[in-house]
Amino acid sequence: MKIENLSAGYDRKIILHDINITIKPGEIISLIGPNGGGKSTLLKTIEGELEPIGGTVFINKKDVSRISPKELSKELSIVNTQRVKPELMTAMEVVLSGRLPYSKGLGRFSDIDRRAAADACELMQLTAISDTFFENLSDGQKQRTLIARAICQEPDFLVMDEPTSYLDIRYRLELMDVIKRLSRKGVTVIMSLHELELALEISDRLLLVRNDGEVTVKTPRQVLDEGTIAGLYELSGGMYDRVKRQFEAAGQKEEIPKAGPKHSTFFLNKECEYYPCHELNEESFSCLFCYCPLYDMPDCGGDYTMTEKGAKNCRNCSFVHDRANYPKVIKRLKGKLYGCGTDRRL
Amino acid sequence: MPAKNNYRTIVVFALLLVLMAAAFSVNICVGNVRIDFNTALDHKTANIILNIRLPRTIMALVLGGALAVSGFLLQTYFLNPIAGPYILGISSGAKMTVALFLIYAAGRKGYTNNFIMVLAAFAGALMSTGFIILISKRVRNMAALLAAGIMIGYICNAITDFMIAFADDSELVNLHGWSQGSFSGADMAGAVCSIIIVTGAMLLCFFLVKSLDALRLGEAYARSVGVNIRSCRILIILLSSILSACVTAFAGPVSFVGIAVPFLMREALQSSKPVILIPASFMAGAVFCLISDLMARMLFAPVELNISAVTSLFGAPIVIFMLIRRHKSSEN
Repeated sequence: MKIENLSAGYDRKIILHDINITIKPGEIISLIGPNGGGKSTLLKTIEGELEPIGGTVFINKKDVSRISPKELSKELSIVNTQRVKPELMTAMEVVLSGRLPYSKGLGRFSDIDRRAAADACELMQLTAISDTFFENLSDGQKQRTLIARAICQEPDFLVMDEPTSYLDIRYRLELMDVIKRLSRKGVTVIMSLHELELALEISDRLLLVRNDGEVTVKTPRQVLDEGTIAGLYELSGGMYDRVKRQFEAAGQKEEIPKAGPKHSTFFLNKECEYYPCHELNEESFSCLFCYCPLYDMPDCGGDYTMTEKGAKNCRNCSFVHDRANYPKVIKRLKGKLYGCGTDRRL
Repeated sequence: MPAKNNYRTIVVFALLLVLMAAAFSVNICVGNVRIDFNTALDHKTANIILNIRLPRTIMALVLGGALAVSGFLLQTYFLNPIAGPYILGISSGAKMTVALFLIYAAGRKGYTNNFIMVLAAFAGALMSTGFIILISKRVRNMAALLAAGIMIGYICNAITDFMIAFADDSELVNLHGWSQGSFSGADMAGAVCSIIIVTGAMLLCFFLVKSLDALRLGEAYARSVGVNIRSCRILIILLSSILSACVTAFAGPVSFVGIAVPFLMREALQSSKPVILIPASFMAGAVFCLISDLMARMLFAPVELNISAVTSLFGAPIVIFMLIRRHKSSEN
């Protein structure tokens, strides 16, 4: 994807100007910036909903505002912040609607479509609620349904406006894992995020959307080093120091696992290049091992050795296999994210 | 789709088919002259069946279905379950132009033609719909939109009344009865004409099914799965206008079928999938109108009621029930 001299806005009023960026396949790009700064406007222009005021967005060398919606629908899918209220539509039907570009006449779905939708449901952990009517789901479940819908559309480009909204911390982290996995498959992900720490952790590059309409491209490292955040959000000195302390704590922890090779941290994935990577029996394995959010923490609390491939080989998993103990784990995860409360005993 | 729902769909459709067949034959047989299968088909009864009851029954069936589908299309367009051709003033707009046509062209020059009647009604329907769309761009509020539709209905009715007040009695011959909504004027030519128009519109509807399906999640998502929103919107409006115009041209404005029937079908089928709801709405609309017409004819025979009176009597409570239910579910 290539964005050239783009100016975006509503009703001929320019909100953002002179945006230039070339995005490689599989890149993860996050838009960060203050509320009302124009993140959604930029995303809407990229996905072709808004006509650019100036400049062009190219997707696979084609001008987005010129190609037909039909063609675009096989290359780009969206999650937006608009709340939808479909009547009497099950979660599965909502997910399946992402397969409409591939469906036959009268919107009939093939087995391939159904399988893709079922896979997306499993990925977003919706299988249990797939027959529930969308209107009866919680906000977080709705959000996950819409994300699953966008994923099963099998796009080259996934454009999401605040995909983490309504999600609790666990689903948020899992979503990040899903995004990483998609990007490894070659899907380019462009999204706006409010959680700076997530944006800094996951993104290859960041688009900083300022209130005055200026858009700059930076790597997460640059953002941290140059102190751009203060200017971007117009933070006062004291506020910025607080934010910075959090980032530094989170950033330092991040460095350690990044040194080793990456692995599937979330999925029970027998195709994982590291499988089998541990000596636990299958039950505890399918229950938690690959889901373990503490997997990439060196001090997860359990005993383990490192395999030669660089994966953890857990001996006695410390991750509590009991739902009642989840709060403790979440506390630990928070510690990992925000760099506070580093209680070593779980 | 869960198996339970498939089963439900089959049952509902089977039931609709049986009801439709039953209502059709009862409408043919029952009347001031009772005809049953043992009655000898002499010249007189054949005449009654072929020239009076059959066209009327066919019209009630086809137009009832058309009205329900028209309502369904409007509901999809406005993402609003209470939208319908009658309540949004589209029927009144069509009525106005048909009255205009009947008084000034047909009344004075003594010339009528089914297709021109439909065309006149279509123009009026499009005019009203145009107004509604203009308003709906400015106000997103569901209640305000309905109020606007009702007001447009009043304006059109007022203009119609003006025209009637200033027209000569001789010009009003064609107008009587029609303007209240009734299938009593049905003839075979009209029945054939409505079959042609409604069949054409229904076929086009099925071309739109995929887009309608996508539109359930709103415009942005529909666009993202490849729906050309602009042309799709124009097609929906044209189709729903032609369907309700056809009804208005032949039977006058008929109330509530467009709202009540799609709602009942959604509830019965527990689904909002257009590919099953459009045929279901059509069949249920046909049954609803056949039964209503039968009641309009028979309840106080030989006095004939307006069909709108009967459909309102049954339709309005359904709509009220629907509002209460929606209100409840939005509170939870």
